[in-house]
Amino acid sequence: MTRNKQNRTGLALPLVLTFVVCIMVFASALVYFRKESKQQNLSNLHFLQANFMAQSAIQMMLLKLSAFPQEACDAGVLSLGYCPFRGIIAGSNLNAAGTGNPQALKEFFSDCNTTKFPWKATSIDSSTGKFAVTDFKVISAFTNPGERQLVISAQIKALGEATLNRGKMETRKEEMIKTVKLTREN
Amino acid sequence: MTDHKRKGITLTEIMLAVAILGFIILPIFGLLNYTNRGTREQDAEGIAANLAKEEMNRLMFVISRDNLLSGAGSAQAWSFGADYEVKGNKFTGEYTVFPFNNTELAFAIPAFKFHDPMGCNNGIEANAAGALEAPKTMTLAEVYPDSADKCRLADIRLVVRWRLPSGEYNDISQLQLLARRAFLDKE
Repeated sequence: MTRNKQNRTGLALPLVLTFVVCIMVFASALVYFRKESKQQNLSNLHFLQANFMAQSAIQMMLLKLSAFPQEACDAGVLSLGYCPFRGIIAGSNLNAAGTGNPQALKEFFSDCNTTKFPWKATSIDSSTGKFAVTDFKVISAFTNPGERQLVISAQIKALGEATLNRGKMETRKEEMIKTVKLTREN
Repeated sequence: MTDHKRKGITLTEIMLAVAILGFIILPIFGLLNYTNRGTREQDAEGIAANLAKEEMNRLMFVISRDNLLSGAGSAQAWSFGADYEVKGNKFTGEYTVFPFNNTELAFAIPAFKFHDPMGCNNGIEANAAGALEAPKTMTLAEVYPDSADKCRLADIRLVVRWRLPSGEYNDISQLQLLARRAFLDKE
């Protein structure tokens, strides 16, 4: 009798323990994927807000360019080293002078941001989102002698920043570049 | 004679197994319920973000100036309507527009020192470093005196809320998007 008892090898406990381990692995995977999915959602939202911030900066710059096209062209011409009162003479090399002054272009985009023009609604927390135009440069310029017109292609670089007060995420930054064509009658 | 051949489960083992299963399975069921609800919430939040993006794109680039500015300063219903339903979840949204006045939009513009342009050979600036004066400031109202009261820049705040079929709208299940729109006139 004693010998028989010693030989009994039950399967219930090993089976249950194996099952329990499997269930726990499954549950851990569920929790992990839920956390990942939540983080992914927050990340998407963060990107969305930062992207709209950068678009807002571009919008402000476009408004300024449409209001002050003459000054923008003059600043672009000077940045290449040419006289703003003469423009680029047809046949000239781009940046031939080598003594361009980009200061006027910097002054031009210096106030297209939320620091100079904060959010209009006082209820909007300024730390939620901010934007700024970070660069504005001429990438090509020529004079069309037939139409006596100066044509400049310029590049606007904008940075949008968004901060979410959820998920312990750092500030998200998105950069956006837009190329515009400016014209000025010579 | 048959006694010594019995191999299998004792009553104690069965009771122990049932107890272990009970202790483990019950919390696991709770966890499953929790993750299931969480997944639905995540799904709804993702849909809300997509709807918010669609709506903000419409407000930024599609809707006309007059339509956007009508009711400026107060909350307006979004274009999807109240309780817009996706996968059984309900979504609602509102936007508020805050227009800038043209007199407060004072921009800095570069000022160039006047000199005889004929002194610049082949158009190359003779004194590029010294060609600038201190920047001037000019408001949009001065640039466009005939249409000074026409709004040219506005902030937009969009708030989207959502709820699961079993829940209610609350302050947690909501997201906010901000943007600034310029109205570029061909003048």
